[in-house]
Amino acid sequence: MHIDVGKDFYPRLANRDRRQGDGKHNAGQFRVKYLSHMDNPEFWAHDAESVTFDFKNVDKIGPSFANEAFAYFTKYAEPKLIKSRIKFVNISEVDRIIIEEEIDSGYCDRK
Amino acid sequence: MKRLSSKQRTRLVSLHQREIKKQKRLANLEYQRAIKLRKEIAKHHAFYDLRAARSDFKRKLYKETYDKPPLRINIAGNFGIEEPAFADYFLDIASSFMQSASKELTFNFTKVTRIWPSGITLLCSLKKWVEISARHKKSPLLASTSSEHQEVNAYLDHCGFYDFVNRPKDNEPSSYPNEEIVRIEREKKKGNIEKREKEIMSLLIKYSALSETELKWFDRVILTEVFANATEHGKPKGDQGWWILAQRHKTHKFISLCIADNGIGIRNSLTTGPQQKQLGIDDSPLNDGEFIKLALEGNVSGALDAPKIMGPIRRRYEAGSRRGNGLLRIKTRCAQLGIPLTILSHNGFIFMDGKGIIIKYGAKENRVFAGTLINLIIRAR
Repeated sequence: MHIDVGKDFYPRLANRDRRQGDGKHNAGQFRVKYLSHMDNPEFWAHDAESVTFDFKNVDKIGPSFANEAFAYFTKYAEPKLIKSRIKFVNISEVDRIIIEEEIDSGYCDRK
Repeated sequence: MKRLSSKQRTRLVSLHQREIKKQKRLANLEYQRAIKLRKEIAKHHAFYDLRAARSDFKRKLYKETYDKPPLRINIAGNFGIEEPAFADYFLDIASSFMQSASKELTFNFTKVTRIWPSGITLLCSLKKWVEISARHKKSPLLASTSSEHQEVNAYLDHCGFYDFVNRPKDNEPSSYPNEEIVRIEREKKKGNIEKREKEIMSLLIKYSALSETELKWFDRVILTEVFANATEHGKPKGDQGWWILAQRHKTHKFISLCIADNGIGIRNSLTTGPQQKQLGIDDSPLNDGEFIKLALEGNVSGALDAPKIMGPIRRRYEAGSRRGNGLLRIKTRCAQLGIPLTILSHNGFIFMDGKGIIIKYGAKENRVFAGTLINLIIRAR
């Protein structure tokens, strides 16, 4: 699966949930839209297809968004496995570091 | 009365027994439902308790009565925290009026020679505080004199202060350039955030000494997280409950950025959260500085739910830990980019230098800011 995030979702990836910012286009919605099939221990226990997010039309991603969208899965799997199943292309070095740092440091549950 | 035949009697008994069974089955179902409901209630009990505690707290916090005699606050010289030399004076002045219950507050600006963005943000926070805290039609009267220095009056108009507090203007001619400021405004729409972020970034791209990569870090981590905090904690009333002011200071070679909210403050946010018992600090306004320091160390937040205990392959964190690292992220990146960071939150304050070292922190007896202010000093070209 290859997703053009900026076009298909939104170019500004900043809000963790509906309480932050204007509440729109938040990480919770992003996860449900593209990664809901991963919200399941079974998915991580077996081989599965990866998802590729294309960041060419993304303006920026914030740490809170990255935490809620991607680091969420540290409750099921190790960071290395998560990074192999969720891939990024056309992404800036800063954005990549932000996402990787969040995945490496784990999920901040703020429901 | 007609006697029943044995066949009829058997049928009647059978019907009766079937009815009893049905009743028992229904009762059992009812019982199971009750048990399930009780479990659900128990499960959410702590959550609702916390919510109720926070609502009670807000009700108490925002009910102020302004019936004391009029108060005149004299401000002189430089007013702001941008220059460390004036920080103590600023805190003393702020704590002298922020919690005042006077029915009339007059700010005497006559001897003010310079008012910094932090000073303006503070005065706007008083206005916001009065709006949300005063009982119906019991708001105190807020007024100010003009300064002897024409440029101070011109700047108060130029930065948007008079419009924000709805004060008549002095109509002083202004020579301040428009491209060096992001004005303070009533933020009426949630969607303004993106617009304001872009304005701040344009100012920084034009005047800051940060490299392209440093600007990216600033935008993605510092600006995004500060905005997330302010918008999450601001209490909407008349506007969205947060406000910003950014100004380039050519002679001082820095850009001062103030982002503020009128929320319940860092201490109250932490102590009404699920991890209140783990904090180990007394819940007192005099410990506001300690709470800000704690929040900057990360792993604490005012979020209402505690994280779940995870299974063997999952990460294990105790309730209240690994949460709300926004301020820690801001602090870390500020230190990497050489940006001095100051936070004022209710009675507490913390001042950090460009290396992330705490210069001073603590709390005043009275509030120094209505909600929370984050001030960043970004070096300019």
